[in-house]
Amino acid sequence: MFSYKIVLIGNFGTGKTSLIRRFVENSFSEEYLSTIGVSISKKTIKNATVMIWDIEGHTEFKPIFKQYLLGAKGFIVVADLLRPESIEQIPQHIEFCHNVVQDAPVCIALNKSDMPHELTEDSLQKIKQSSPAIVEVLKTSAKSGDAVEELFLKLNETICEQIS
Amino acid sequence: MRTNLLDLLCKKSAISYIIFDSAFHVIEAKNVDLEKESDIRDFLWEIIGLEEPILTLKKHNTPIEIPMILRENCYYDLEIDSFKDKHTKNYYIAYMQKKSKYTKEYANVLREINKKTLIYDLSDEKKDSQYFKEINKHLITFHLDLDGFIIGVNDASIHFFNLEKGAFLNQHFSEFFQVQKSQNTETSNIFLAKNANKEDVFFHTETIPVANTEGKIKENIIIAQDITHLKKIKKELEYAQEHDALTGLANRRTFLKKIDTLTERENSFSVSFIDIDHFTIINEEYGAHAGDMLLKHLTDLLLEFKDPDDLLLRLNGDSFAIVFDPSKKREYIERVNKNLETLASKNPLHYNSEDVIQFTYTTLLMHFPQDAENAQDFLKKAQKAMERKKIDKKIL
Repeated sequence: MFSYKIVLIGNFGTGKTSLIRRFVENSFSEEYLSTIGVSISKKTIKNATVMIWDIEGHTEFKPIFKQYLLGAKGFIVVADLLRPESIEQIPQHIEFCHNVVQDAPVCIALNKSDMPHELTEDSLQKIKQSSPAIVEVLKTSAKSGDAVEELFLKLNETICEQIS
Repeated sequence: MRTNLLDLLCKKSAISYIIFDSAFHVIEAKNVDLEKESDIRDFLWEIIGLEEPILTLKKHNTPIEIPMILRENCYYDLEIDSFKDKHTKNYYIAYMQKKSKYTKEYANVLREINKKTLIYDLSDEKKDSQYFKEINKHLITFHLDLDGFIIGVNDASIHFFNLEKGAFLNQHFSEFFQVQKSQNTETSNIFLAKNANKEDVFFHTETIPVANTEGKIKENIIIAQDITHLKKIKKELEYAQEHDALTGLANRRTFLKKIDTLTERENSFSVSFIDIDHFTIINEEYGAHAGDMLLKHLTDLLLEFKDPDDLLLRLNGDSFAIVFDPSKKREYIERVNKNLETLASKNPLHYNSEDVIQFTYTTLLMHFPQDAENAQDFLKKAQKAMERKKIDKKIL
């Protein structure tokens, strides 16, 4: 059994905490309580213990604290399908992660897929091609649970391959 | 005494600490219930993943600080540093300082702000505001004095021309915009400007006079909107209206306009009409695609055959026309028309490896003013004469 750290990063209100809650506790709450600072959850996947860092989302007035990313083996960048600016900022978030941990694998969660949205397959492909570090782009829903497990398992698989 | 003081300080400042070695085994702990020799990571998850930065702490000499960690509904700051004991062995210390109740209150205020911002982000109000922001990004605005000299510009202007603000000031507006067309009103114009890439961009501008408190006009604000795309669409539509989509040749509409112009300006000119024989049969036998290929093939032949100053047009389905330049002499035109008659027989269409489509056409040469007086007259008479010729050739 080994342990490693991953960090969920993205604009505020994109659903980072909800994705973690769905994955770790299989629960969901409609109430929005933004994360201030960082809270860390633990989940065992196969023979690995994953420390999932849920950090405060990026806002116009408050940048993300770099130290939170230190020592991460991979990242999940979360964007909100209903807020285009959160999708537009995905490349900046990836760049920020790679400034701290070079070349770490990244999964992209385009969250709130249970709501009507306008993201085309073409745009999704463009996001996928925007960085060689991206291992998966998934439309997720913390509410319905769609693609949530797949998201974490894919990142775990990539990290385990890199570690072994 | 020293221990008591340390206890007091830790309690007062809500500090806990754990001292551990390079194997991450606990050596000593304060205000944390931890056994000696246990792995610190079993209690302090926060340092999982940070092993490497911790072990290289002495090199960098900067402690690792992780603020605002939420654990069991309390916030605390974590700081990890290294030190050496009297035997110069490396040890590490993790301090955890519990944040005051005010931090929690501060976090709640931030949560409220984020909640309101999120509601606004998803609202129609935000969408409208973004919509107007998007428009403003493309609206170039100039402030001019009454003589047309620039006294102010907005960011869109700076971006469009890729110039510093100072490069605009005190320059005349006409240095940047050339008038293209005055509209019905004095305040609305079409201007042409070159962008930073030296490309032509058309602008529709509106001039807004600004008056002072006494009602006297003190400056003009010019708002310019890029309409290049509209110009392009208009141009494309005009082209589509006057050209045949299949062959790219000018169409019947252009023919009528051209003949009207020539009948007004010229004393004489000639037109040769060309009608493919049995075009319907070719279409039925080989299919519509072969028919289209034949029209394109004949277009290529005629374009190569005609003089550059003569105009080739496709009038409808299988009918073409060449409007000869009025400067051409009749003898020359008649000779050209004679050569035209044999062009098809020498150049069949090689449709595919198996099918070579032989085709013929009927030609008809008409002269202005003897044979027709105007454009419609040309078309009407040409149709009748062509029918007669085809009957004679036993095509109809």
